[in-house]
Amino acid sequence: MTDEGKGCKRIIVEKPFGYSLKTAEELNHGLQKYFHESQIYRIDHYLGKETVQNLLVTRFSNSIFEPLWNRNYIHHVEITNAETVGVEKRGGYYDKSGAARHVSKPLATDCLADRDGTAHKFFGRRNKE
Amino acid sequence: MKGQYMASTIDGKKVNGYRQEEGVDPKSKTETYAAIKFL
Repeated sequence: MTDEGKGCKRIIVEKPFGYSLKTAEELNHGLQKYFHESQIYRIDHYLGKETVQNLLVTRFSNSIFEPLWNRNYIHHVEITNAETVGVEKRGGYYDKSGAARHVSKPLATDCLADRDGTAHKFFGRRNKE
Repeated sequence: MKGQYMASTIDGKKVNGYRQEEGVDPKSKTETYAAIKFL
């Protein structure tokens, strides 16, 4: 399955990535049996939203913010994700997930963190080197 | 801290609480609101 031949094969997994550490590890191992790590994308569609993309650009491409936007100058960051609609017809899915898993993890960890340097690579000064 | 939305009015229109939504257990304890502090 991982043999790419003339094309390329990718698998994209939308969050939640498992429901606990154990189920996340099981899912990960299952994927890695059939796909190489470089073929696996663990995503949250929120990272494609314009607001989030703009935040990444502001943070890494702005030479005034870039040196200041860190723990030495920022006491805390507060992210509010407020909705005016309920779960509508997604109740059956949502009831097994909940707000903490569904929203807060990707917002807090993926938006706040640049864990693998990807954002810095695409938006930061390093890109110009 | 967790919470769950209840029936209310938004823009003058009555809206369901979480437990009244389609597909949700009327006794559900699933949170629809979470305030989390990361250190």
